[in-house]
Amino acid sequence: MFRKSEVKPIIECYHCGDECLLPILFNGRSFCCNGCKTVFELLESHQLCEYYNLENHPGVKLKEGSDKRFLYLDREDVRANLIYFSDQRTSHVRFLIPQMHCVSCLYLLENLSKMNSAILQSQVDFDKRKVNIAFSHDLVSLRQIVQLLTEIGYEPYISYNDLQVKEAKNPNRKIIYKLGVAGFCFANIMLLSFPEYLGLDILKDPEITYTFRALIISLSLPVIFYSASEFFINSWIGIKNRFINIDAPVSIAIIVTFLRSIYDLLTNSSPGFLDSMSGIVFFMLLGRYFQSKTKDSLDFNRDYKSYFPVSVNKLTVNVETPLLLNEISKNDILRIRNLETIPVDGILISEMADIDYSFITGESASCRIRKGALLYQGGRVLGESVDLTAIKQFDKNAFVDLWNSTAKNSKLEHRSVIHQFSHYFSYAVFSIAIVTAIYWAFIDSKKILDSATSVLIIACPCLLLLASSFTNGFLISLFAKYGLYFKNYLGIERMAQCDQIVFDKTGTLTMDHSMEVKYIGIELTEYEKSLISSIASKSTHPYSKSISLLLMAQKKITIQEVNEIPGEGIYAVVNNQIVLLGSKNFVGDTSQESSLYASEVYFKIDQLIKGRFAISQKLRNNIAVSFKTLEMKKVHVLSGDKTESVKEVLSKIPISISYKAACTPMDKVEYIKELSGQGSKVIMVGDGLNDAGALNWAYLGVSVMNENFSFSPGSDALLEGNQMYRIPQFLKLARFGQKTIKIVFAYSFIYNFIGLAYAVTGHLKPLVAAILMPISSLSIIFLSFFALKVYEIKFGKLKNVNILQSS
Amino acid sequence: MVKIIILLLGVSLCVALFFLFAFLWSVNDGQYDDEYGPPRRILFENKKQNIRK
Repeated sequence: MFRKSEVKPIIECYHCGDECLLPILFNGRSFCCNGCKTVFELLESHQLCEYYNLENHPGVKLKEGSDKRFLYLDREDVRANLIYFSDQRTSHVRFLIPQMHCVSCLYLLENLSKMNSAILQSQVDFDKRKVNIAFSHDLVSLRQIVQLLTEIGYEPYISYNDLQVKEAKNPNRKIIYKLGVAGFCFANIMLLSFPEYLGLDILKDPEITYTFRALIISLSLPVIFYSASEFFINSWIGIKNRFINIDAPVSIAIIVTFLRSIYDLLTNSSPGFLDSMSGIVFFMLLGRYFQSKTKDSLDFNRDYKSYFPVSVNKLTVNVETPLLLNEISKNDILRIRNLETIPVDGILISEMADIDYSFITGESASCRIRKGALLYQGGRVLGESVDLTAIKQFDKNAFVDLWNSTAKNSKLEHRSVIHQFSHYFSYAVFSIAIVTAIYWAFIDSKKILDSATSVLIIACPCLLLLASSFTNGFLISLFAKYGLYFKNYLGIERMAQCDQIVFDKTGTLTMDHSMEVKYIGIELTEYEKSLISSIASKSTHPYSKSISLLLMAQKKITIQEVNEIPGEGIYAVVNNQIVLLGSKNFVGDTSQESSLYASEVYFKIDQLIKGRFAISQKLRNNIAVSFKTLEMKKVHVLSGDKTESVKEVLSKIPISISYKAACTPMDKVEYIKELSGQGSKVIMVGDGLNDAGALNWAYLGVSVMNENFSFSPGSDALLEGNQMYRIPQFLKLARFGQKTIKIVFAYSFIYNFIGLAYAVTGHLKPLVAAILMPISSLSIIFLSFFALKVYEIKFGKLKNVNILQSS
Repeated sequence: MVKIIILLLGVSLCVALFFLFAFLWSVNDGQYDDEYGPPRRILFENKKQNIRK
């Protein structure tokens, strides 16, 4: 175990909060990298240091990428689609910036004018992660604005769809209007009903009584014809499709209450039940609204187009012109830079290329391609930039075909168990009403109508609807608080019903861009460490960075000659020694033992191979510990990677896992189909395009969002990558949620019984209903709230557990 | 005498209706779209900006 004195104090970057392995000092503050320091300098020079005062470490790490990728923003057609308003001098543009996460982001993005006076005003809609910028288009171009945003770490997310279609603004506010009207009418009707309950006599004050009753009836009209309309519409749709959903008995109850009340008021037999009716409509609408709130800024329906950048640069005689993806034609020469995605299949023109296909195939090792060979759409370029000749247009590639073939006709519209339950409930209520009517027919026929309608009024499934919608609403926000975002509440129900879980490996169980490096071989001298670091720093390959970080060498050694060969290694000459850093082949190692690791970088100095850096993917935080509590019949891992890689990663997780390696995307779909065919309900957790099909075919698809906000395939739920370890907890919560709904249902039966006792005996007075309704509704809401709150307190205890990483 | 209460009722309903319309208008105007920004924005210390719409 670690003793406190053994652990070095961690220096956090002043800008982004990451650990500074090699702190860069500036102005008395430490930064983890040059990027962070640059942003700090920039903000300081514009007097925007309040950014750092509002929140600790608010900074966003800069993404690597060249400025040339923004060339397309100078195009007229692109500008026309992005700018939503323009007059003589100013233009307005709206960007989606998913990186904003705190009050400092809000501050900085609303003070852009301080950084460039040509920006007149910028306003943030934080919930949607959007910023509206008004600027003088004569003084600053759209491209310069995007470049500025990128320089401070807030690169806008511009998708293909943004460039095709003008943004249609259509917020769904209808339900809030209905809520407002229902609430207003409910409160006033209640107010106006009480005098009659409490002694207002129609004989003594006829004028007042009639006025009150007239007002009550007029106030109830908007409720039944406007606010309650969605219940009627939904139940009608259900009946047309030969299905009785829960809106059906609710609608009947509302209509019966309304008619009975009008009749009573007009015949002077009672004050009517309009207050209870409008109250229950209000509460049910509130529940519905609450249940439908999902995170505005997330898109659950991303298709493959969102994976690609919107433009690629075409080379014509050494000049780069930006092309939109649908403009790429056969034989265009395209230049793709480090970490950019290949937009179409093509033939390599450059000497060598190092391509990462992990998002498509799941293979974590990159591919070395020589000049003249094929490059496939969707691969990511590593290291030096690459030129290729396009052989197909964007829409005509195998990739797109693959995507389309793994899509399924949309999941059968999942019917919530509540709707199935409403069947039984409706039959029960009608039976009771009929029995009551028959009973009173023999005893006292005057009471038939009274008792029968009372039964229909009070035995309202409204309480059931309330119970489920509020519990679902609380569940959605509880899950969201801990990093799991559902498309809608039905996903929670599905999650609770699943008994098997399938994970993808690369990017899902393992971190997307972090790697673990181990050195195996003859111990390196300090000189050698500095040597390797200096050489590695000349390369942009991701492995180089990881190696430098491992060595933590201080000195920089000047290198006489250095030459990086993509996909093979680096050749350098230092102090007249020849140094090679690269693949086994590159350094000439001929030993036959197969590698246990995803990749190895060998180190050879002057004919001696001293050792190698074994690079394996890092498992996500805390998974090894937390997955021990995973309660599933079976756990599976599917990967496009080779068996050794999969085994290596699985060895770090101490539970029994079935796995299948070297899976193509179709293999994954078949695996899921097979499990489903055996009667299992399967959760699929994946992050890449090679998982998109499996995500569609699983009972519940969970897509993993990476830290750098890049593409996640569309699915039923989105999970923040660093919350992966909470999956066992999430499963338990989903199951507990279903139990809670059942408990609250049972509780609501108490009110139904009490009310029914009054109704069946023909004694249901409006006063009784008016009291029962708010008490039952509010107590149900509080019960579900507290049940989940208590659970969260127990569950939340795991939030702050400091789990020491093993190894 | 009795009619006073009816008059008062009418007036109070009108006032309440006014607030209902104010609520509906503010929702339509988009004032409830962002719940995070407005409370924090007013706490920023800023020199007066020259805002041109």
